[in-house]
Amino acid sequence: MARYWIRRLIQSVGIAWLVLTLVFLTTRVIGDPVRLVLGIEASQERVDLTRDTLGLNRSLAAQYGDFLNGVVQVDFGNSFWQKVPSMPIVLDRIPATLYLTAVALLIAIPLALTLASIGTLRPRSFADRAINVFSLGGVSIVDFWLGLMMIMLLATRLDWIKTSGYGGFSYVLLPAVTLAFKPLGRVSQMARTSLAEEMSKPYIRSLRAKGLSQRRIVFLHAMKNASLPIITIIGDELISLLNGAIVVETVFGWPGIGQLTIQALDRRDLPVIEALVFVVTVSVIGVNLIVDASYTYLNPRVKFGDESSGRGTNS
Amino acid sequence: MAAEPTPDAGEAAEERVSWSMVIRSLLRDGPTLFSLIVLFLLLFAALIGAEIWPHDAYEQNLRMRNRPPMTPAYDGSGLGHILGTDPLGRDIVARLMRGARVSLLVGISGVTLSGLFGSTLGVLAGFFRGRLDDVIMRLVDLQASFPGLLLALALLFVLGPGFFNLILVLALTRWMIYARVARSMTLSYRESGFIDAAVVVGNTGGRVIRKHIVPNLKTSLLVLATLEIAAMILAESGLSFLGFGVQPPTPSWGLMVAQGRDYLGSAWWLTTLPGIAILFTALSLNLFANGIGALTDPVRRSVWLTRSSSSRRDS
Repeated sequence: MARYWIRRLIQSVGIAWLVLTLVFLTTRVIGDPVRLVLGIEASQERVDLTRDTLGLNRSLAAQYGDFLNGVVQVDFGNSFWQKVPSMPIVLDRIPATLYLTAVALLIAIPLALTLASIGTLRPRSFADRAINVFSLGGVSIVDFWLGLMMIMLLATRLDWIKTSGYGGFSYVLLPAVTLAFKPLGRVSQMARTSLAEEMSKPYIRSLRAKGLSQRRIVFLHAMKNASLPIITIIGDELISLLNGAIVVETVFGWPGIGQLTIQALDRRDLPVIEALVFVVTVSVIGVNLIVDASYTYLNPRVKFGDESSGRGTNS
Repeated sequence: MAAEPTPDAGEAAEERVSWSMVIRSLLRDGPTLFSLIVLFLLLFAALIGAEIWPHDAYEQNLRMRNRPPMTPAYDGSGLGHILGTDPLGRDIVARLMRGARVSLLVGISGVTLSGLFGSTLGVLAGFFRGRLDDVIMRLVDLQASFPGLLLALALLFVLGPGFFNLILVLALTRWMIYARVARSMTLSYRESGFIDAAVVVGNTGGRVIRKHIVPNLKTSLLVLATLEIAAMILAESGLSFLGFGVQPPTPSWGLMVAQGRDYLGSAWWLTTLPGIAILFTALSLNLFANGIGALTDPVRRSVWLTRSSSSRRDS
């Protein structure tokens, strides 16, 4: 067991190294960092000057050494825009994004599981079909549009709802609901499918023969056994919530990682972008490790001896 | 979606199903019928509608800025602006129809690129196993666990915006799912007898793949591709909304939503209408893929066909 986790850890470090090297290569080799930073219209003098100050005249190997050195010290240089170290800029934005995504998940997951159970209690009923179309709608909806619609329809009528800025319930409500829609759709569909699969298994028939009510069967027995695939999809959702956060934070002016991504890209702030990718990579790896750990906890049958039983290959 | 192929069940349940039966059961299912109608209208708008509509999508008229739906044309003759005009006085219907063309073009060409790339790698990984399989699937896991929107934004930042780059980047961020599905199906076919037989008879690897594996993967991959067109269109609209996708003045639904943002309080139609177009398109593609998926899956198909025949008896 310990050996498995040690190997996973080493693997994770390898993945982080690979991602960062790819970032280095794409910015330095495919794109010209000076042009990325200054834009196409910059004069030749400015280009030369910037090339000098960024140390881009040296060999690629020397630059790569510098870059790796920065990674190890978790320092990607000063932000071009704010002239302060880029890492703290990124770290400062993390709590806001965590807060937003946590509220979104608190809305999405209980609701998704409730919808899926209602559908499972009465399969093929009108409610089941309506929920199915609703969750497909959740998957098909465009988050930025939904956010703008809610601003237009709700916030102009209810003046206690804030449409922009950072703060308590009245601030977080709209962005969190907007962000919740996609995971709501996907988790409820996934949960419905895995519950249906459980319900077709023989042990359900014996439970029914024992005289258990449909409600008890669904909530106490099927749900527990269906929890594994549901956990997997929730883990995937945690990561794709970051996709949503980029858009939703931009729409609602929420000062998190997502808003910073767009700001940094707009300002061509390369050090901040590199720091961002580093932070996201580390958190993605962290989430994957946590999901794997919760696997062993929920299902002791899962042994992490060989590669094929890990989450990576079957998710 | 990523259903495990069951060749045995497929062969067992392989009663010849006539095309008319298939079409009839597709039309009988409410949601699928709805999706077919929407998709037909969409194709019509993109291919023919944009050409025959009396207003031009690029023709500006600053005296006709932000006019609400049902405004008569500027010179009072001919067809009015049924869905209003945008901040530059351009006709919304014309722009929506051009936008449909852009969305479909991005969706279909992006899916073609990513589908061919991903399924080729998946089949190779599943057929040859070993080192190649390890490398390809590691890459899939790595990229699948990284937030796609962030990756797309970073790539577009390096490559620069542009229509071709947009399609390329979208394809590069969404190929993994095909690789997974194609690999798992190839693996399971490889275990079944007919592949062994083909090899024993003296077929080369390439011929086995072309003649015996690819034909068996086609339907599942096409269903997957339908779903992915929806995902691709959503991704395109998100990137365009953020300003990194389709560039003005080309009409794109995501861009139209972004342009309407400043007029939320005064001109609701600017943001509302393109969002509805995206929602309906994505929802229809999802519903359509659901229906097709039910028909191509041998187990679900029998349920479908019996359901449609029993409902025929009821009516």
